[in-house]
Amino acid sequence: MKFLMVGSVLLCVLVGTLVGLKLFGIAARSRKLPEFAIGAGLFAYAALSQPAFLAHHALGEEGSLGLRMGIVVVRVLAYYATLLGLSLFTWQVFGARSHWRQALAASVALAASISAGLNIWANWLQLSASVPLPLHARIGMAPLYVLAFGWASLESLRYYRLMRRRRSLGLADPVVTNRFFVWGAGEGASSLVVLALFVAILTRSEISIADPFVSWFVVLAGLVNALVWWLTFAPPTSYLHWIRGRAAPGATDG
Amino acid sequence: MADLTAFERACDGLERLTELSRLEARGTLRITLKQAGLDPASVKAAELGVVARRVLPDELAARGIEDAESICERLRSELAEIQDSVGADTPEAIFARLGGS
Repeated sequence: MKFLMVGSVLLCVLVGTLVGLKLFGIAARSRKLPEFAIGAGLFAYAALSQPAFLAHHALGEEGSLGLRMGIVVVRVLAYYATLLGLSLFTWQVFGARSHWRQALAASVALAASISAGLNIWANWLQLSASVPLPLHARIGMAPLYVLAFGWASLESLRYYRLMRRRRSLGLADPVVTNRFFVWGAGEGASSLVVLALFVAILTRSEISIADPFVSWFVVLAGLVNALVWWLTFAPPTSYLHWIRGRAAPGATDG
Repeated sequence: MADLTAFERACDGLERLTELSRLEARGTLRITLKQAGLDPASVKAAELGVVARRVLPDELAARGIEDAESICERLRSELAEIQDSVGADTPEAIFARLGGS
């Protein structure tokens, strides 16, 4: 199980880092905010938070206080940057002029700032003075991730429905239409996976990486993320051919 | 006229070519665009042209307007003369860029 978990995290690190860099490249050419926001979010999650997660568990009780605290800070700030990037992306893509979307993105950013600060402080107390982690630090940003993933999912699936109608009139590209579906479904799955972890934290007195439930959570989250990022932002040619083939006249609608 | 969106130009045209009031013309076009999955605020003239050919004739016929096909054809030729201004980024344009298609 341990190997499966590490393999899943490494896959997530590899795919997320490469896709994040690709999106940075697109942002550098287009000079547009959405690609920069989602690129930064993916890169922070894959290249910073996940390696920090692995290092944290590999170190265990070993390592100096400074090193262990440094890893905690990198991990928390990377989760924070991911949340910010995802919320900013959803707001900018689906309604940059919409006041309620702007307010929602700002609320997520504010709540995440507070959560990140409290989390770092609680971890400092635990590592330096052996004070047990309070519930808010164990929960971390999980509820905000459920919200941000769920929001991205609903927006994307709603737009997918519009794109399907356009496609029937020949007004939408089948590949782009499918991209809304993959992103929406993937974000929805991520939201449910994080929700399950959130409920587990609330209902169990202690939760650790050795817990099979947590191990499966890590494996599932890693695989879902890697697959969704790959198919949405760097789809292989064979996949694109398959989507176009399915959308061709006479093929089954999909 | 230069500042009017493609949707507003289409509403003007539909009002002029039929006996629909301004409100009825706008409502009819809004319903038609909703069926096509398009947003009045960002729809392009070329997209309106397709809607005028594929969806609007049935909508006009359902409202008892005679010669709907010919009205839609005239509306399409008017829409063909409109040069769309470069508007805000649409979700589909962003998603197309992100995947490199």
